[in-house]
Amino acid sequence: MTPLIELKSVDLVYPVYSVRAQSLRNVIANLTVGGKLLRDGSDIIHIQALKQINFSLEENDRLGVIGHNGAGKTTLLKVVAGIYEPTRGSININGNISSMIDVSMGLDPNMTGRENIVHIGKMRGLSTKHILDNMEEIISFSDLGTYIDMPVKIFSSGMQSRLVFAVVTTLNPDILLLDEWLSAGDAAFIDKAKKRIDSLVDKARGLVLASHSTSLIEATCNKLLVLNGGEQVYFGDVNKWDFELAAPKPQLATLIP
Amino acid sequence: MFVKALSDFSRGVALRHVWMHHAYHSIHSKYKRTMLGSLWIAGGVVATSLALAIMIGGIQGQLIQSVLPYIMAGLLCFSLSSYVLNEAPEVYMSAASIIKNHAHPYSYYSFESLSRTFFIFFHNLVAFYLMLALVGSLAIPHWSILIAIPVVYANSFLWGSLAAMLGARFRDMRFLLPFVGQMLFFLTPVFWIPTNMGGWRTALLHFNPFYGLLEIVRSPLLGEAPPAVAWNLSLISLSLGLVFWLIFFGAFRRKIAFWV
Repeated sequence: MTPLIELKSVDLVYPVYSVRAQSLRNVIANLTVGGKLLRDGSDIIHIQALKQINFSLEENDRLGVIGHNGAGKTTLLKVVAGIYEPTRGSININGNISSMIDVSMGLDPNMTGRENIVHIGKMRGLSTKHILDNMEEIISFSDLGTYIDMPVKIFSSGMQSRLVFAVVTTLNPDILLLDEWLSAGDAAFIDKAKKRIDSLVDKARGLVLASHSTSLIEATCNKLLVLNGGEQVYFGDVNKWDFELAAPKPQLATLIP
Repeated sequence: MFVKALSDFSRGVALRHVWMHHAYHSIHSKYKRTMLGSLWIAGGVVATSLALAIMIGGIQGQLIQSVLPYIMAGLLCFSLSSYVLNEAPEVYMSAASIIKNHAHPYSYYSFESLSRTFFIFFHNLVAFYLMLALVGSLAIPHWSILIAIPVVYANSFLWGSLAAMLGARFRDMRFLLPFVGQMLFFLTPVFWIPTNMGGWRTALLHFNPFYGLLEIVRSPLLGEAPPAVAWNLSLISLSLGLVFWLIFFGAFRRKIAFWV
C-alpha cells in the first residue's frame, strides 16, 4: 500500500531577506564593487528550519505534532501542504490537502458569511454546486445563526475561525492539516470541534494536527512527531511517548533483564 | 526546472473556475453600493479619451469623429499590455497572506489579476461602441483580433509573472516599473499618430513592443488590418517572454513564498 504522506530526509532552509537585501540599490552597488564595500548588500540570512525529517503516514493515521515555539511545527505543516518546497529530500502526498493554517485566509471582510463560504470553498478548488449542497450543514455547524448574512468584517476572530473550521471540515476532508486552531473559539465550540475532529477520522483519510495541547493529541491522534529546533526527536505511536518526561517510554524488553 | 514551471502553469489552468470567479467578484464587489455600479469603470476611460480627443484633435488638426475612436481604442488596448508594468509588480505582494498559507500554483495569481484586466477591457468595449455610435464611426472588427487578443493575454501573462517576481524580490521594482509604465504611455502612440513621428524618434515605434501589442488589437477594433511591424514586435516579445519565463519562473518560483 502506498503511504498517504511520506517525507524522506526533508531539509528546509529558509532565506530571510533583510531590508538591505531587498533594496536594488544595494544589490547593484554590491555587484559593481565586488561585494567589498557594502558587504551587507547581499544580507540574506539562512535559517535551517527543518532538518532530516523522515516519516510516513498510512491511510486513517492521525498525526499529532508537538514541539516548543519555533520548533518547526507550522513550517512542517506548510511543507506538507506544498507551500514550501523542501530544499533537500522528497515528499510524497497521495490525496488532496485541506489546510487550516491561517484562519483568516481567503476571508473577504466585505462579503457576508454565506458569500464567504462559497469564496473559501472555491479557493480550495471545489465546485459551486458541491459548496451549495453543503451550505446548510456548514451554517448549522458554525452556530453563527443570523450572523451568517452579516459582513464578515463585524465577526470576532473566534467567529471567523468557526466559519472557516466549519467550511474546511465539511467540504473536503481528504487530508486535513490543522495548526493551533483551538486558540480561538469559546469552550462550547472547542468541545464541538473536538467531536468534529473525532468524526472526521471516519470521513478524512488523514489528519495532521500541530498543537501544544497534549491532552488533545492523546485523545485524537494515534501517531506522534516530536520536533525540537527543527529536528525530529521522535516519530511513532502516541502511547509510546512519555509526555511527562518528554522522552520515549522504555520498552518492555529493556525493563526485563 | 522547465517541468516545474509547466506543471505550475497547468495546475493554474486547472483552477480556471476559481480565478474567473474571483476576478469577476473583485470587480463586482468594488462597485457594490454605488449607484452607477460598474459603469464607473468605463467612466475613467471615457473622460480621459474625451479630453485627449479635444486637445489632440486640435493639435493634429483632426476631426473628433476619427480621433476619438482612435484614442479611446488606444487607451483600452494599452491597458492590456501595460498590465505588466502597472499591476503585475504587485501581484505576489498583494497575495502574500494567501501565498504563505495556501499552496496555489503561482500562475493562479497572474491568471486572476490578468483576467480582471481583460474583464475590464471587455466591459469597456461596450462603452467604446456606444461612443462610436454617438460620433457615427461604427466599424466591424477585423478578424485578426481573434488571434491578437490571445497573443496579448499570453504576452502579459509571461512578462507579468516575471514582473511579479521582480516586485516581490526587489521592493524597488514595485515603484520603478509603474513609473516606466507611465513614461511608456506617452512614448507609445496611444493617442498620437505614428506617421507624425520622424527622425530618430521612429525608434519609439520600431523597438517598442508595447506599440506592437497595442496596435495588433487597436487596428482590428477600428476595422483595419494591423501593420506587419506590429505583429513582428508582438511575436518577438511573446517568444522572448516565453524563454525568460521558462528560465526564471522555473528557477525561482519555489522562492516566491520566502520573498513576499
